[in-house]
Amino acid sequence: MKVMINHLGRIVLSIILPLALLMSCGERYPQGKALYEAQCAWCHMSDGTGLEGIYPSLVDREDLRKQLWRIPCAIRYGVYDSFRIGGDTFSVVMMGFPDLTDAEVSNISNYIAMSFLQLQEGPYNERIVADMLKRCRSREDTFRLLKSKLQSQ
Amino acid sequence: MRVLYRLEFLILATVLMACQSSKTEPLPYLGPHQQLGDSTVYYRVDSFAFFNQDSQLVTAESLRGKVYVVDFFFISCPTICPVMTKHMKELYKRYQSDPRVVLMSFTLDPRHDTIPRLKRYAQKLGVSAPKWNFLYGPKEDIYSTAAKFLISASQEDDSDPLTIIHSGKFVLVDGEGHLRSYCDGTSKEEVYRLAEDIDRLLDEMADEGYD
Repeated sequence: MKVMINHLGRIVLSIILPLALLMSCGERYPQGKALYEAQCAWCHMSDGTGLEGIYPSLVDREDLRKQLWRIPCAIRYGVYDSFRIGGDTFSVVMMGFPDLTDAEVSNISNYIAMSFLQLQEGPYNERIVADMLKRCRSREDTFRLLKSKLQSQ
Repeated sequence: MRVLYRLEFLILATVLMACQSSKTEPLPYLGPHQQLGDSTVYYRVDSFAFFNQDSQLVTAESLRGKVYVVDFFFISCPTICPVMTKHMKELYKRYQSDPRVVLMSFTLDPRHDTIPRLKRYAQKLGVSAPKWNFLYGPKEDIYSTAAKFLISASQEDDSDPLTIIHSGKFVLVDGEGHLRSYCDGTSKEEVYRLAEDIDRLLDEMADEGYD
């Protein structure tokens, strides 16, 4: 009988527990999910597949997995293409969301990382995000410049 | 035993007949009807003319005999348009080899969505006319044409595309300009249902001798 319980315990620990954890993954970042649905899903779609040729898919992106800082940077400051503000040929690939806090950016990034990049753990937290955002300060200037340009139009 | 067989045959026949009748039952005619003596005149959209992304004129007349799906969008639309376009592309793939089906996306922001920009947009999407037309024209014409297709659209501030408010409806039009079905273009399930209506309409047209 003792052996049986032992076995049962092992089965629970080795199969059922990880499985339950795995299944609850998507719900580990409810705020991230809610914000993703409210802000990102319009273009990147609820399932992360985007619109082919227009809005890139986020699903299984090896480049993002290798450069995790790009996700919070894109959320905060946006993504830009060939730029010339004086002569007017700028192209905004994606507008940033500067009003989201570091914690909110972290939650969205974790939701994306776990739901679409298939990471087992959310790699971000507030401190890491703050640190990563330092890497894209140059984008902050671009964003400010663009915002003032758009407002003056 | 024989009775059982007979019963089975009866059930089978009923089911078959039910299938048959649901398949041949024509789609409804949408919009206001007019009664002229004994005959009913159904609402139809019979006049418009816009340029597509290849600068070709597309008119109501040029679409006679085609089944077409209409939506209204604009390139910089930050909300419902991307998912509408995604669903329209599903229809594009489904009917790619059927010349009887045409897709029509009218821009609600002609000030920014010029013909070259529409062309570039279509190329990036990997689609082309005459299967999928991205249509450009004077703003008043576009908004009044939306109303003709019973699609609501308005723009409060002329210079700001973010003030455009519009419905995400897809409307299905038959070979004579009658509106025959519609759906919420942002819902995948509803767009699948619309595709079934397209198939029904194609069957209907084949029966009437269009081809």
